[in-house]
Amino acid sequence: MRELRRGAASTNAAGEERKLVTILFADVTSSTELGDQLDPERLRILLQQYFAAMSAVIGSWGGTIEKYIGDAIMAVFGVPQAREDDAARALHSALEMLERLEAVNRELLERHGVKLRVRIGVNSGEVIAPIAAAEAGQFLVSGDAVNVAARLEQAAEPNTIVVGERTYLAARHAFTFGEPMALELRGKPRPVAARTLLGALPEAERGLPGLQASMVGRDRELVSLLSVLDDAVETGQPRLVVIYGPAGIGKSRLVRELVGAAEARPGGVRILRGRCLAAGHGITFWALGEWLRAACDISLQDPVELDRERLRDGVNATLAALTLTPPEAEETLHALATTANIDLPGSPLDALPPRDVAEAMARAWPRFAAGLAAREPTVLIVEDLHWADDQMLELLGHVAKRARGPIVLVTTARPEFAEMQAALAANAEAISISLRPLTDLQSRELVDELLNVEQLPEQLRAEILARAEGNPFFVEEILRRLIDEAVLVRRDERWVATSAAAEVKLPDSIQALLAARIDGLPGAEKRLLQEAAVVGRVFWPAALLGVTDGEHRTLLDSLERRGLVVARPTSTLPGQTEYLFRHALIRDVAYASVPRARRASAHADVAEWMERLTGERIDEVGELLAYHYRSAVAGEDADLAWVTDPARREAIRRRALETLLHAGADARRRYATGRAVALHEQALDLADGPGERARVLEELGDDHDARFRGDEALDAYQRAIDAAREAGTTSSVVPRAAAKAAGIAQRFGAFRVQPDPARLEELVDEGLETVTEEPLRARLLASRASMVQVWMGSRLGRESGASAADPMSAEYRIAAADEALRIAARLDLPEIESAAAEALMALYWANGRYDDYQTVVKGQLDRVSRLPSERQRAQVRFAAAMAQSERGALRDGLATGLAGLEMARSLSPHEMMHASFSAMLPAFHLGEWDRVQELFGPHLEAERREGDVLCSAVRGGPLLGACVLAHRGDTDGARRLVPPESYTSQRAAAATGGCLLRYAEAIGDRAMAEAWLEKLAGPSDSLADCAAEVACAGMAGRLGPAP
Amino acid sequence: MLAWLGAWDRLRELLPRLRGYSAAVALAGPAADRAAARLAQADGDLGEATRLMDAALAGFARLEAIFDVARTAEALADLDRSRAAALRYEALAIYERLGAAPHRDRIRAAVGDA
Repeated sequence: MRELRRGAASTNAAGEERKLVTILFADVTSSTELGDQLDPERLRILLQQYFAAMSAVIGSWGGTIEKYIGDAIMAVFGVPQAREDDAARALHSALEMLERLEAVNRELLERHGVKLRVRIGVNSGEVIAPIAAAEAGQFLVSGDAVNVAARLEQAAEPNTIVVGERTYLAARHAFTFGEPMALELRGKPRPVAARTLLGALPEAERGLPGLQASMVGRDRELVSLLSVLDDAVETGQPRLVVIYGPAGIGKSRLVRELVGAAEARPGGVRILRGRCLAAGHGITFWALGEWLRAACDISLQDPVELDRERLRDGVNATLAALTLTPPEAEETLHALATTANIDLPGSPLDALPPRDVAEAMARAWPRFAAGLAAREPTVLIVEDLHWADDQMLELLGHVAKRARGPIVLVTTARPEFAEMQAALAANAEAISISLRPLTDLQSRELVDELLNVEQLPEQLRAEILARAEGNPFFVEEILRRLIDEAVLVRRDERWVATSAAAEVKLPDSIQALLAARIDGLPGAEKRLLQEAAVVGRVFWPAALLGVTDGEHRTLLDSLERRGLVVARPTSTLPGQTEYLFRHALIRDVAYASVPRARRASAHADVAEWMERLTGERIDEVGELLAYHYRSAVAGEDADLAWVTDPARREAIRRRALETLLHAGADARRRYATGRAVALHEQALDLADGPGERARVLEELGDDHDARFRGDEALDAYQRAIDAAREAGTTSSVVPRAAAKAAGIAQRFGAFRVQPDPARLEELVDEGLETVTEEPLRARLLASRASMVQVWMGSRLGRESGASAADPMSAEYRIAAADEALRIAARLDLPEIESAAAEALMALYWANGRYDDYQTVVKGQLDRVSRLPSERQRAQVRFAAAMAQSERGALRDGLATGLAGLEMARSLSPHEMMHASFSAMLPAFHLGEWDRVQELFGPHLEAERREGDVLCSAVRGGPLLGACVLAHRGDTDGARRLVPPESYTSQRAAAATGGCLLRYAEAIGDRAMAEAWLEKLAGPSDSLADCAAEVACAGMAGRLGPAP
Repeated sequence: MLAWLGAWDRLRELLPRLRGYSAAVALAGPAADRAAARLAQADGDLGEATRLMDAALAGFARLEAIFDVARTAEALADLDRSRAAALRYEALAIYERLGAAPHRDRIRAAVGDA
């Protein structure tokens, strides 16, 4: 590259310029045959499509189309302006042309029934370029290099790229090539050296020439990673690796080396890369979206229809190797699209609650990974995992645990991540690789590798090593700083320390060093870097306002040479070069240096640019957009930006509010509920007036509801209703929020403090008074009926004191349930039917109408297939299994329970335990104790993940398991399984009732039995009822007042 | 349970509730019979106790609740000496099938004593 650069500017008196350029020839093969097959008009349209696609690619890499010769394209890289990396740009362009050709061919095949094949030749060399013509936009270069490029193209096999020796030499560090060839080319007296281009190395270093080093001190780690890949290939099982290390220690470099080594293996390896974004503390699932887009060749700027088609084709082709049923394949496709926020119409997931969507995603990604691995070994990379939230980590864990095939998940994270990776560890066994600081010897080697410096004073060398403390990035940055300050200068291919080296002071920290480097940049470069930092670690020049297109390229080239940014080999946005801050710290320091007032307005500019760019595909960048809008009005000292333009601030605030609301709802839809709460709390901070607050609070209530946080959900719904009253918008918000509040109140396990049923009754009253829509009315009526369970729950929930009686008659509630059932059946709303039926079951049970109760249970089983979600179907099976066991049909109960368990295995731990308990209970009574022991292992594992939940099914499982152990003589094992101290509260005892007393009897502990009996019997009548039931019959499970 | 604890007054008080439950929870029927048999036995009415324990045994057997079948058979053996050996062997077979070692050993000792 240095050679290319030096030769780039030599002019003569005739107004011509000698330039070192890279020429690309691409020609369609067998075009004559195509001409025979197709009508000329159709052929013209087809070639237009092809030329448009290829020209766009060439343009995006900075090439210029010299001319079209028949079906051939000649492009030149290096006119009108030479760049140091013209050769590399030409090769990236050639590779992307072949990639785009595949997409073009898909369309051509469908529309015209033909496919194109292309040969490409690339060569670098000196040419003569007329300056005046260049200024006029014509670049008629000439010279032998042009002829050789054309001949190389002719020598290439279809759909391959042949590269001349000079291009190879200039770009060999950034690409992989085939073996050298000696080609006999027409018109050349001697064979011409050439190679076939195989591919690009990911994110190749493109900094200063010579400032590159082979990886130092990480050989063992690389060997470990490759052996993990070998292991995955040999065993056909996924492996998960986390590479730990502080910023700059070389995590990304190690990954790059792994990628290079893996790709060089025979047989090939599929590699997909993703990165967790730091903006706004994590953009949910962004990295997975990057995998999906890369695997299916999707970009944000393409027409949405085209990308939907690519997504379908890509995913279906990937899943073809698996034995999925059509509904499973369809669910997988839509779950993958949902993860990446790609809008795919007709998604069956749209009707599901967030937890079910999360479970569909948890099934989909392992399938997708398995599909990829069925074709070839697959390395899935996620960098910066410390920015990921729990849902993202859980999904990765599912991939590692559930997928099958030679898959290696390679992740990088800072050390603090080790403490917060519980969500990942819960699902998968991770192999940790910790990168330690380089030793002095290794650091010294690195300095020597980076720069062969003459006359570097030993004192300065020692100071570099001491300051850098074994951090390779720090070492590199110190050297770059020394180059910036002309302490090190390039002379005749070598670096030489100047006299200033004796006096140079090195900053103490990497941040200070970077700040000094950025501060020392020429003004325009510094401004551009700052603007880019506002966009994020990845940016596109078009997003940078206030800098013209022409300036962009020059400034970015300079920043790239300085090693501050790198152009990426591929771009999320076609037609736009994508840049990456070479290190996250550079971005952070650059961002910190942006004046705060400008920071705020720059965020607004970026957000508006993203909205314009993505158009109808805005959802795919929803969280990023919300982050930028919010930063524009709520960032530190953001008010400074809008002092003179309050109207614009208000407009931006509204967009921030809307995008936060939308992004939060999207996050919830994908069960990133923690993220949803965070986004909606940010929205609440921005909400102005009770109308906006009511909207945000209702969303917040939905978020907490989805994450099973009853206390917070109820509080949010109540506040939403209060705000709606204040705003005078009761008819829309009140019935909805009231129904939701009453709905979550049924889920006792979701509450730390049981809700006040009287208050909830008032809300349902208010909802029914204001409701205008029939479905919502049916829902409220079902809630009215279901309140019987809240009253019952409120009695169990009190540690002491008198119980609160349900003030409504059973007939009143049964009538409400019947009406809800009628409306829901008429409107075909099986979910509301099911909710009303559940309420009826509770009412019939509580009133001793056991035959009616069993009839409703049967009706529930009849409608189970109409319920939209697996969770609801599993819940109905759980209730039916319990009911069958209660009426003494223990074998039916066991069969239904086991069927529900099969369904619930892919659901949450809580649902899984419901199902396993409903099978364990009849199995226990039937004496199928081996089965009980088989079932309680997974139950225990799920209980550990679920945490401290008071639920009879959750707690009952281990108790039944412990009973079996004790009855079989392993009392110590039983006590270890269920430590008696874990049941100290009355609620805990009440929640497990019969199982607990059976357990005390099984281990022969009378004192424990008496103590627990006392807790159960207490002063409350209902607890005495429970005690009567469980003490005498030893039945576990359903609790409720006796008839 | 209450019988095991010797809490006869509590058992007497709660037994009607348990009977009420038997319409809802099938296992509560034979459990109530067994509890009532224990009460009758404690009251010295062995005939009534045997009749109720027999009913409990039949109830648990009908439901295939075999662990309770064995426990009830064992209790009935204490009430009806004429059938004690057969009932204990029946219980022993169930305990062996269940792998319920302490129960198996206890009943083996009882069979040996007999």
